[in-house]
Amino acid sequence: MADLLFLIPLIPLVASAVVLLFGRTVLGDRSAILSTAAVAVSWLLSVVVAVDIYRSEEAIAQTLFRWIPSGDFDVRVNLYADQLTAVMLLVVSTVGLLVHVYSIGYMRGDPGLYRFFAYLPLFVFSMLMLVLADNFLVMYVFWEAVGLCSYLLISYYFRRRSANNAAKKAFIVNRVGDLGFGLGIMFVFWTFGTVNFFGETGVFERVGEAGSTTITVIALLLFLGAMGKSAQFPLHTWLPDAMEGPTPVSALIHAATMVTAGIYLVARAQSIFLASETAMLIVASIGAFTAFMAATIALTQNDIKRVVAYSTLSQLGYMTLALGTGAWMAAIFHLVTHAFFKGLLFLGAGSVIHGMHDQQDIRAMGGLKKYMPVTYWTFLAAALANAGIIPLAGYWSKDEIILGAWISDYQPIGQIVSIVAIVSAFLTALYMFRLVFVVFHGRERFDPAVVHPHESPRVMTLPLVALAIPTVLIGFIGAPPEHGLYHRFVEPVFYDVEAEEAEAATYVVAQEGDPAPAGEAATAADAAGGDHSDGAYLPHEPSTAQIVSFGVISTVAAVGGLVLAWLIYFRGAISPVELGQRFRRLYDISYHKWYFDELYDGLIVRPLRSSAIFLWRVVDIDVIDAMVNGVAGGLAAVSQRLRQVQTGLVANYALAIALGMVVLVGVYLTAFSSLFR
Amino acid sequence: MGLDLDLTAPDLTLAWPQLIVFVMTVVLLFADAFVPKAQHFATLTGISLVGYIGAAFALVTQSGQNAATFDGAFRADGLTVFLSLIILVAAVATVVISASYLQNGEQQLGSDGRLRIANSVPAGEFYVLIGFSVFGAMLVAAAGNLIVLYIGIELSALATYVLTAFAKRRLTSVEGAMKYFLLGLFASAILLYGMTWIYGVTGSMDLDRIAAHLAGTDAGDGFTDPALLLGLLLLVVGIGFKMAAVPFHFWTPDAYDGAPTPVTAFMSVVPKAAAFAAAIRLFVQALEPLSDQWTTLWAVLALVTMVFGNVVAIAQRNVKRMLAYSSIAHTGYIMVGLAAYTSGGTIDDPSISSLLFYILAYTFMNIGAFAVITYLQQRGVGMMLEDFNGLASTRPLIAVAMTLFMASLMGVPPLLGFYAKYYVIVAAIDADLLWLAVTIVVASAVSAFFYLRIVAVMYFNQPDGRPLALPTRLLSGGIGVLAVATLLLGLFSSPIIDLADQWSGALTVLGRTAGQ
Amino acid sequence: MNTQLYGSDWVVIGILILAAAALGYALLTLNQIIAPSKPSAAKAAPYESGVPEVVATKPRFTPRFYVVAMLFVVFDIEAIFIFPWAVVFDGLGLYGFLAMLAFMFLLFDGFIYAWKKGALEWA
Repeated sequence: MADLLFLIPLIPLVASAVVLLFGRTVLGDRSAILSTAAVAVSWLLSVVVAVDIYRSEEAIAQTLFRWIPSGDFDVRVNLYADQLTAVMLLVVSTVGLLVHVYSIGYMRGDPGLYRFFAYLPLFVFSMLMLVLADNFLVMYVFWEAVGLCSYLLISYYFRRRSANNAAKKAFIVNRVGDLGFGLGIMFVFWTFGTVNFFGETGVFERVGEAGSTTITVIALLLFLGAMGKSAQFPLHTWLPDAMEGPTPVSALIHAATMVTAGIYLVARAQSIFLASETAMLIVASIGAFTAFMAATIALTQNDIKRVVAYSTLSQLGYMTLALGTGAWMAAIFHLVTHAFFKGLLFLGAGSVIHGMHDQQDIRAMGGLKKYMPVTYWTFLAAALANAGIIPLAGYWSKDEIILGAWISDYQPIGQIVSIVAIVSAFLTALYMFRLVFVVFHGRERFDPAVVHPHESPRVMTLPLVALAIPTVLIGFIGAPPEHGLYHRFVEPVFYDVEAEEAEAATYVVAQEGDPAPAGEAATAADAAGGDHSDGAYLPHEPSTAQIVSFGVISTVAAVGGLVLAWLIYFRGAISPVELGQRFRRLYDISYHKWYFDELYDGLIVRPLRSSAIFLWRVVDIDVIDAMVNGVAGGLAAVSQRLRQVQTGLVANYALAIALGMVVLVGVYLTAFSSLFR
Repeated sequence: MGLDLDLTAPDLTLAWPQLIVFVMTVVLLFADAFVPKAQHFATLTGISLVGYIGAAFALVTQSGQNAATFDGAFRADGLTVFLSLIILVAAVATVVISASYLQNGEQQLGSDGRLRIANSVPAGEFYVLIGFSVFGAMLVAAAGNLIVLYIGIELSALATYVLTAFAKRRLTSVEGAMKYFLLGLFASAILLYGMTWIYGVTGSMDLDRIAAHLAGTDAGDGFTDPALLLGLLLLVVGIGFKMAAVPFHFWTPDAYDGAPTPVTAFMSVVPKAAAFAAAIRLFVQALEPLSDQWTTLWAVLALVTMVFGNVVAIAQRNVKRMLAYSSIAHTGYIMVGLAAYTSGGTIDDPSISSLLFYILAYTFMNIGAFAVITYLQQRGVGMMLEDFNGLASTRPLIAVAMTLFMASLMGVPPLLGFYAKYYVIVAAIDADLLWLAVTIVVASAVSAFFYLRIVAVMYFNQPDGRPLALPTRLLSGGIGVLAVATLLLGLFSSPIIDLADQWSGALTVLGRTAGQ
Repeated sequence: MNTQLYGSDWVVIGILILAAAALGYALLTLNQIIAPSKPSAAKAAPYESGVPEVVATKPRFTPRFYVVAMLFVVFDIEAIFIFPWAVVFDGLGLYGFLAMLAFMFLLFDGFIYAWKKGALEWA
């Protein structure tokens, strides 16, 4: 089976290349079928690989080739699939496949169809390679590659100025993060002399060799990359704008897969993060802040896709805060469930937009339930899941995050974060059901003479239904909490490292001489020391009482939000306009997305722009260009002179050869021979 | 005086690849004479391809061998295999890209604005001459003896002279061939003269025995026997001519410009590869004990060659002449590999393997570039910069391929040309030739000027509506394969360079053991 | 150093060169002394071949002359090559025989090619 691993990314790549080359001329609309089929094969292989890993409980590795053999810097392109990778493979290929199928209907008749179906499998390839990479450099290459695909697909409607601007914004903001990631990799190589992840000489095994400051710097730089890709505050501003791309793209790239690359990176590099308490603290704080901030913004937005986009931001914040509080499995679990329900939300939103003739403003919708029942029911399921209503997918993972934060080693920040997460869960339910009620219920606020809402074609609703099934059910792989199928599967990836973490915690305690860091942490560390030999150790083992009480708390928060939304937007018991008036200032902050775009414009964009103009007009044109042009002009002049040597006369040529020979012989015989000595 | 003859049958199995090419050429001769006109082209092309590919397979089975036969005059070692493979790749590529030329002849733009075929080309003789030239070059690669080396060089060159004149009704073709022929004879005489001096001093034609003799007669005062040095210098001049090093390069622009474009592609690679094969055999194998002398010499020549080639290329508006100067510049880069050889070379010495890899890379990208010109060419036109106007909108895939070739020649990562330069630069730095490494980088920067100009013309100018030549499927496919190779071989370069390392390492180790 | 090895050979070569020069000089001098001097226009021409040496470049030879001449040279060389081979034939054995057979086959091959291409036809 391991031999087939390389086929998983390769097949979409081949499809992409074929479509790119022959899509316009030969394939035409058949491009869509070809790409979809390729991703389907990939999906099938991913399932086989995942089952294989599940059975054997061992990671699969495959060496492809040596990429850069340069002294100490020896980079190989290897594929590596452990349980974490397997989970990611499944998520990427499943959502990827469904989005491809959906796009066949959504993109039908688009003149640039072949371009779309060339970029989309290219993205799937890059994303699969990203999760299969076994060293930082290869991961970085595909990290950039998914960024490129994202750029290409956001600006897919390249005749629209806003799409181009959004694509550029996404690219540039990501550049900040990628710079951090790049520097982080350099630091890693500088410190450890390798960029490989695994094995005796790999980075992760040798984290302990580096000083704590170095590790903190590395962790923060890597996290900067993750922040860019996963749109965490303050690098979050690109994601909502990225909704300019076609909706399937938003679903696949900007909800389910690419934006989770940052989460995957941190989870992958967990041993680095665990070694730095500071880094964990920052990760948790940023995640919590993002989760809360995005939830508040989502409350007041009127563009259906933007609401879902801010919801994505908020959920990514959840994952990040889970990472920061050491709840690794919960973060990845949420990543999985989120991929399905958020993908479904986007596809549902796309279906609504499709049925409403490209209308995206929810104020011009309403009462759509009877026109598009399939979309409604699937959207509702996704909204329930997103809001974290038991027993849908989101409930299990979100509850686990909140609980994990509460009992984490990092106190008191863990408990604060946990409370923020509960508040955000309330807000999540509120904005989700605001959307559901405003779009699907109530008065029809569109002009029936112009707009005829209709259900989308089968090829689009089928993926909706297909995604709705995991949206409802996938949570059960994580049930019962902490002991589900999912936990048993993924546990080995995080197991050893957690033991190390416990050791590190004890070490820190001993070194700093802090008598009581935090009750739970100390006991967790002690428990770790005791149970380690048994091989059945789990540091954050919550009690049954905690599990139940947090289940109740988060359900109450979610249901509270739902009920409030119902009161406001369905029953009309509370007027939203009045609410907005009363909390004018808060409403404005939320509506203007906390003024981040304006802030960045004033603080960064404008000063940069004016200094760029200075550099261009003065330094570039007058100094550098003048120098370069001077050199080029000089070279051209010399070239013109020298070409006159080529006279075209054989005698001259022979003379040149003879002269050259005479000079060589003369110089050498004089200088190096014993002739004149 | 009794005649002491010891004629033991040589081990012909070692010479399989070379024999396959030779027999193929003889078969081509017969086929040319007896196959009816209608099937002429297809049959001959088929025989050529089968022959070259068969020889390549025979070579691959030889890899890892290190043997000699014909009393040491013929060697079947790693160097033979690697260089012969490069030559065969070039041969196959040439056959593929000359298909349209042979089928359609050179075309002329009539007064009515239509293309018509001006004169047909005798395909049989074309393929036979290519075959002989390839055989000669492979003989050089396998030479263990001065005489075999010389015969190989001459066989390769004589066939190329004739090929240069193949567009016999076009004056520039005949003119280029004449210059090439006369100067080539001059250089051959110098080369042969150098060989006689070496023979005179060392008393042997055998390369290993020459090395052994020289290693035994070091005076130790740092100065070389003038007779020996003279022989060495004459060899440098002769070989320098064959590889088109400045100041022995003058035939290059005229011959490249005049020759039919597929021939230009061929002669920019195969005789050059043969010349470098000869250089490795002569200098690294036979004159290894004098490496202190010839490394400096090659270093200086490399510097002059790459600077001159790149600078003069700027002034050219004829693309074939531009590529001629570019090929001179690349000779300079390749020579750096020779100059970076460190005395008593160890297996770790990357110089010769970097040279070998560069020739391989050069084969792909240069033949590719000429293939694109073949694609466009009409008689007398199709070689000027203006003929590339707006190619990106009329033939987008060809424009992409040309862009790849140009970028690769320039040395843009991650293309093949970049890795080639990279390995050469590493070799130069290892040999403490930092100034040479810096020159490579600067020269490459200069080269961007003329390589990118073609790209700019293709993409930014409007097509001027001139008709395109009549390319065959074989030619288009060939361009595609070369472009993909240029793209991919760079990424997967490490196995190739490992191979080159291993094989050139075996050579130097062998040379040293023979020298003791 | 090496000079000692072949120094004596150089002396021989030097003597040979001197002798050659002396002989040439002696013959020319002798000629001048003995021969009668009757200059004429025909004698002053570079070549006394009877063919006018300065003509317009228009007249052309048919290339068949050259082809036949080259074939002639080829078979000349064959003869030169076969002669010493025949002398030592006894000592060469089967391998020597086969090698010559291969050589002659290749020559024959070239001959057939030339024949088939019409090199021997004068029409």
